[in-house]
Amino acid sequence: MRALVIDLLGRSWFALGWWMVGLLAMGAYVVAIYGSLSGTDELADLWDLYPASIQELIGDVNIGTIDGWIHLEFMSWIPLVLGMYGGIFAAGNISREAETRTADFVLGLPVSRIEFMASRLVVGVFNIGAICGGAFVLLVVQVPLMGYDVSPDRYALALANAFLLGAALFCGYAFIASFIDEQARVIGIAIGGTLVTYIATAALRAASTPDVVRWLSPFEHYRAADAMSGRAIEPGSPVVLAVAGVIAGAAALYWYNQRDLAA
Amino acid sequence: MNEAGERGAAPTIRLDALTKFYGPNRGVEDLTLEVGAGEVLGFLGPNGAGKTTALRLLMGLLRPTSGSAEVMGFDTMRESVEVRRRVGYLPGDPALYGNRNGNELLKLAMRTREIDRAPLAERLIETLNAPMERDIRKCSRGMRQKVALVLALGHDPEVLVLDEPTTGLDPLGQRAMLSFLRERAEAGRTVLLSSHMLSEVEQVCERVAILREGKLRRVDTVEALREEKFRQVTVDFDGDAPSFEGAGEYEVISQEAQRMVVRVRGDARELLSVLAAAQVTDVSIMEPSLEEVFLDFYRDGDSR
Repeated sequence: MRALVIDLLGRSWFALGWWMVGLLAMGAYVVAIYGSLSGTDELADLWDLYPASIQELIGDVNIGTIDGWIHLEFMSWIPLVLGMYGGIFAAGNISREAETRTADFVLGLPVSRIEFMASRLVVGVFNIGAICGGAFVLLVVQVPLMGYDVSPDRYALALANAFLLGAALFCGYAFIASFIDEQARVIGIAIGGTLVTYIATAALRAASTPDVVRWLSPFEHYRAADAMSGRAIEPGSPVVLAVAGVIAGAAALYWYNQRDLAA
Repeated sequence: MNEAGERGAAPTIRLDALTKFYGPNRGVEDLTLEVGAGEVLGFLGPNGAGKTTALRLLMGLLRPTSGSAEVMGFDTMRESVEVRRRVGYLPGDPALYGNRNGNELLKLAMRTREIDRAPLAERLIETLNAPMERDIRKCSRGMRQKVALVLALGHDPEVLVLDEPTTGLDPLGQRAMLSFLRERAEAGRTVLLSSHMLSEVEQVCERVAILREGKLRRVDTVEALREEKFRQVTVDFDGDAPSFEGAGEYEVISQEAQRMVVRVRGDARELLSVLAAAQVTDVSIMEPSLEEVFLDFYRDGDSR
């Protein structure tokens, strides 16, 4: 298993690097332009221009502050990026391995199916952690450089929440990839599923849907607005995400161990 | 080989009523077969006969509907890692990571096998002229096959499970590969290979297992299959054509003015007594090649 993890880390770093470059460039830009917007009427009016459902989705933040601004333009997008990355990673390293039959080569070595799938889960979760870690380092370094007060505890809490959400989404997509041997189809499901769920979360919040229904959406458990506003995150949401991720990961392992790998 | 040695009294490969259905479609049914240490057994059968399914079941890539399979005493499903540790497996039309080269893949294979060197790899690379430095995506079908053979066999496995090992190789590569397989068998390794190329099965296999429509129709030595099946008799005669009544079951392949070619099954003595009574000027009795046996077997398929 160690050999598979090292191998997959080596194969995935290049793509991971480009995802991080894209995300961190966006973060750097968001922090950099705050200076030209802070204190302006346009910024004060911006929040009111958002529809109620989007305001609900973003959460209760003061976008006139640097942390509120970072949340609005950066933190609130990170779950979407992580969801898409996780889906594409699962499709490329689980579905495609069966589709192109490179899994035959790996499973001809002394490697169990559980180890094969576990290596994918470990590296996928690690890479999602690396993206979140990269975002943390960016904020901790750039925000003081731009002359603003840095809030590492807020960034850490928000990004930890993002990591749990990204890992749970990835494990869910890994489960889907464990029984669909078509990379393109799993990518479609992952990107479409992430976007639709994100939008549906906004709609459910705006429609004052009962909690029990809203809790079914993973994005409902993303509470970065609380973290970036200096409020505590209720423990229920991180626990739900962690439990959901573990269940989805276990289901992926179980199913991959049971299924046939047909020629 | 501690544990394998303890279990070593059993045949190296054992299939016990192994059955695999894909929904309503039969992959293989009720395969029972044993392969001993140092034996080379060829799986023969047309497309869809179940050869690849049988090999994938043996490697634990498919779950059997019923029955079981063992390699060196290890159950292929419950102890698949132990099986894979002892087996060199070459899938049919092997797929390898396109953005890696053979050396990188060999390192990965050695790391997962927890070995520092693959004793036979260097020799195989040289023998097959395998392009280990080239990215797989830039390799032709034959080059890819050579790299896959190095990866599957370089660690000198005790059991070789090969799905059409010479496909895509040039004639020199095919000859080198067959010679290598014979050598490994002489060194006590067990080889199970599937092939469409009957001539190569004939060259390396002691026994042949013939599959048709997922069922094992016959397991026998190459010699026994040849002897039992039929003879092709070419008779030149003077005057009336001889009758083959009493020579066994026969089929006239061609008949010209004073020459007949007949395919005859049955005891050679019956055939000779018929020929002795006829005005024969010349006769040749040909043993069939395995290819002819194989084609004959499938031509008459449903009646067997």
